[in-house]
Parts: sequence; structure tokens; C-alpha cells
Amino acid sequence: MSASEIVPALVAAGSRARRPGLGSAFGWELSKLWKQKRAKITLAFAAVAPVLIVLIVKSQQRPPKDSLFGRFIHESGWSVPLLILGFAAQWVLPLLTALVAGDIFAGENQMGTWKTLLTRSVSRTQIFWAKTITAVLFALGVLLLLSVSTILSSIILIGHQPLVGLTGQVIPSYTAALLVSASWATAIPPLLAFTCLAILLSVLSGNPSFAIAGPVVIGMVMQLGGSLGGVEALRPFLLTTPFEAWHGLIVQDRFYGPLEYGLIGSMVWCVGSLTWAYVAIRRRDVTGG
Amino acid sequence: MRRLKSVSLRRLVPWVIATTVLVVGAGALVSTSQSSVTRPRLERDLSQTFANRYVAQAKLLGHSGVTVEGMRPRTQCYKGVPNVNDQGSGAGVWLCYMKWYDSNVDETLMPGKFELNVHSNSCYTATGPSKLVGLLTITDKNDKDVINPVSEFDGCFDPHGLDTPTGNLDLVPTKTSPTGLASIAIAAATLHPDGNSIVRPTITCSPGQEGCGGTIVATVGGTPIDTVTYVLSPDSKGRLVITIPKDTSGGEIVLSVTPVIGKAATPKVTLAIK
Repeated sequence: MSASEIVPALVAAGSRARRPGLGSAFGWELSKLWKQKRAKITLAFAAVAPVLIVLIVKSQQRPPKDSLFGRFIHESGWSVPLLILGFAAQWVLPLLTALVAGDIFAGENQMGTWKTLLTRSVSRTQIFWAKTITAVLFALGVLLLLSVSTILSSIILIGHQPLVGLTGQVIPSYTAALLVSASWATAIPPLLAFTCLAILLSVLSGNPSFAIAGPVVIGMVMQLGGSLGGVEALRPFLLTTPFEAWHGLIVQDRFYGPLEYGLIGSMVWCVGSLTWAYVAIRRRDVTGG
Repeated sequence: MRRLKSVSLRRLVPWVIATTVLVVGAGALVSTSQSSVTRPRLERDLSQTFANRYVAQAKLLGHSGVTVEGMRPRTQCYKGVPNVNDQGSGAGVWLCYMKWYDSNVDETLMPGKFELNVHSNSCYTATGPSKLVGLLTITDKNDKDVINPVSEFDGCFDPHGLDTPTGNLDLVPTKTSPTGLASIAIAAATLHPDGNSIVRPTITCSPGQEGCGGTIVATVGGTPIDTVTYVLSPDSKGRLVITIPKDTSGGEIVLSVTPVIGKAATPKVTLAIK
């Protein structure tokens, strides 16, 4: 073994021991997030708001029949989480994830801390992934809190009567528990796609307000576009369509096509957004900021 | 921060190109594609969903022997006006006619007419035929007012589900709406004046657009004696009220019709008076 082969190996080993990795960058991102009042308020909202919403829903004299499951709010506690899921997907879920994902890159612009951050001994790639993982974990955490709180408060405040499904069939309480939980879980792919979109806007705009409002507005436009007659062909490409894929779980003969298409669509949106964001971060000139 | 302020035209170019590609692509896609809301899918799903809800209603009412299998529901749906403006597929308002078996209802009232508001996400809200299924609330077997499960109900179907035709083509009533003008006819019968010298000839309006309306001038012996107006809905009967001079019995009365709405079968009718 020649000296010229040993030296790079030593350097590599030495640098691995000395340089902090993705793990420590991620740890810093988490602690930065935890110090933000906004993140804590969002989590508290996800835990407490469903209880209030269920109380309001419960007190309605006239059931909101124009939404799916609205007509059954007094008949089964399992219908309320599905009513709220349908409503949350319209703009609440995109907003909740964008509150953190939209700020996570742009916040550094706002504070003027990119230069400080990039002089730490972690690479841009590591910073990018640390921030992305933080935003994704936050989104998943918010969804988990929101769904658990919604389901529990519905069951406690209204009850666990059998559920009338989307083919008019009666679903026993135990099966309904599984299906309602699974329905909330199907919101994960489109939610993460919105997270990726918020990250992209955060990177490109450098403006937290824009990157937080952007995904919400895009979501609402897609919602509107998807509900128009005559343009149904666009639906598979919209980020809001997978939010409705749970319908296939609540019918008599379950269908999973929309779930599969939704998963693929969400992945394409997410990978596309993250790739664009990554390239933009790698190329960014931060000497000015 | 400064980067945002120095947005240049060069940075905008990719956005403009991307937007254009998206819009053109979307347009091409929309113009060549079909909606997932189709007749066969809707016909199958409405039958199934209605049957499930109908069984729930039978349970509430205490009707025995109502099962999904026994009902054998068959449905025919269309969007728009059949044979005139049938739009074939897509979200919007659909009308469906359904026949099913249940000894508890009057089967001569079949097929029942359902109105569906179908959304592009393959979910719909259906309103059932109140003649057959009752109103929004019904009285259950325990004399309690409950919500009628089939008066209004929601359903969702698989947007990629079976799309071969159901073959149900005999359920939509083939009542053709009259297209011609309605015409008025005066019954050719001898008139009998009552104590006040009033005669009441019968008039008939045939089925047709908008019905019949106009004036009739009654003439006895060449002199006009009365002018009456008439208004009748299509396919209905009425009576004119004409006062005649006291010495007309045994003579004749001539009625000349001037239609304003519809037309007259014969513009001048001569009737005998006894």
C-alpha cells in the first residue's frame, strides 16, 4: 500500500470524525422549530380545535347535508371525523403543513442567517435534507394529532353507533373504527406533496408569508378546478384529488384506484418540487444575504 | 432578501414557459378525454345504494321480507332530455327511473323517478320519489318521527368501475310532449235555455302547447247578442255562458270563434236552440 493511497483514507476518516453530519443538522432544525411560537401554536390547534368543532357540529339543529356524512352527524360518531376530513382537506391541511414548511427555508432569508448557517461545517445538501425531514415530520405530527383528536372527541361526544357508508350500507362500529382511521391515513401522500410544494415556494421566494399562503391558494384553486364539470380529465393531476381517495374505503365494494393514482400523483409532485428546490439551494449565491 | 427584489426577466422566462406548457397540455387533455361519471356506473350504483337504504327504511317501518336480493332494482338514467338533448355523461343533474319489487308498495306507481346531483368526484346526492318512498320524515313502527333514509341519500362510485351498459332501456316513460297548437272545439248539441235564458255550450281544448284562449261572438238571426271570452288549459273541457233573447227558442244560434291562443277546429258553429 503506497502512501498516496493511505493519505486520502486518513483524511476521509478524520473528516468523518470531526465533521457534524445530517443527524446533528437535523437536531438543530428540530430545536429551532421547537423554539418557534408558531409551531407550538399549530400543534396545540391540531389537538384542541377538533374538540371545539365537534361540539359545534353536535349542536347543529339542521345537519350540513350538502357535505358527505353531514346528514348523519347526530346518528353516528364515526360520520363526524369523515365530515371533518372532507372539510380539512379543502385548505386546513395545506395550511397546517405550510405554516412550517413554507417558513423553514425562507425564514433564514428573513432573518438574514443563510451566511451564518452555511459557514457551519455541514454541507448544503445536509442542511437541505435536515430542513426537509423536519418539515415532513412536523406535517405527519400535525396530521396525527388532528386525526386522533377528531376521532376521539367524536366518539366521546357523539358515540360509536354503526356508520352508514357511501353505498348506503350499514358498517358495524368496529369496522368503522378501522375504516375511519385508514381514511385519515390516506391524507398522508397529498399532505406531504403540499409540504414539498411549500418547501419549493419557500426556497424560490425567500418570503415566508408567500410560501405559507401559496400552497393554500394553490390548493383552493385546484379544489375549484377539480369540482368543475367538463374538466374531469385534469383531476388525476391535481394535488387535491388524492384527498378524496378515502371514498373508496367507505363503499360496499371497496375500490383502491384513486388511492393508487393519488399516491403516484403525490409522489410526482413531491419529487418534482424537492428536486427543483434542491437544485435552487445548491446553486444559490448567498454572499449578498 | 436582496435576491427577491432583483427578480429579473431572465428568471421569469422558465415560469412563463412552464405555465404555457401546462395550460396547453391541460387543454389538450380536457378536449380528448371522457368523464368518469357515466350512465352504466351511475345506474349500477344507484340501484345498489337505494336498495341498501330501502332495506334500512323497511326495518324502521317494520315491513318484513324486504331484502336487497328480493328487490331486484333496475335503473335507467340520463343526463339532460332524452332523445332531444341527451348529454351522455359528466357531472351535473341526472334523472333516473327505477323499478323494484316490494309487496308493501303500489307497484303501478313504478318506475320511481330519482333526481341526482352528481359531482365530478363520482359522488352524488339523490332525491327519491316521494310517491313511493315517502317524505323527508316518516313515522316508524313505534310511532316516532324519524328521518326517511331514502328520501335523500348520498352515494359514491368507483370512477374506474365497470362501464358496460346495463341494458335497462325500458324504464324512462315515453310520454311525448305535444308540439302542435291546441285547438278549441264546440260540442254540436242542441241547447236548452234555462229559466234566465242562459245557454251553456260545452267547449273542449285539445292537448297542445299553451292551451286555448280567445273570444266567441254569438249571433241570432244575423244580430250579435253576446261576446264571451274563453281560457282553457290543454286537454280540458269548459262551458260557455251566453244569455240569449227570450224569443229565440226553436231558432238557431251562430257562434264565431276568434282564437288568440291556440286555434279553432271550426271557426263558425251553428247550434239549434229548443
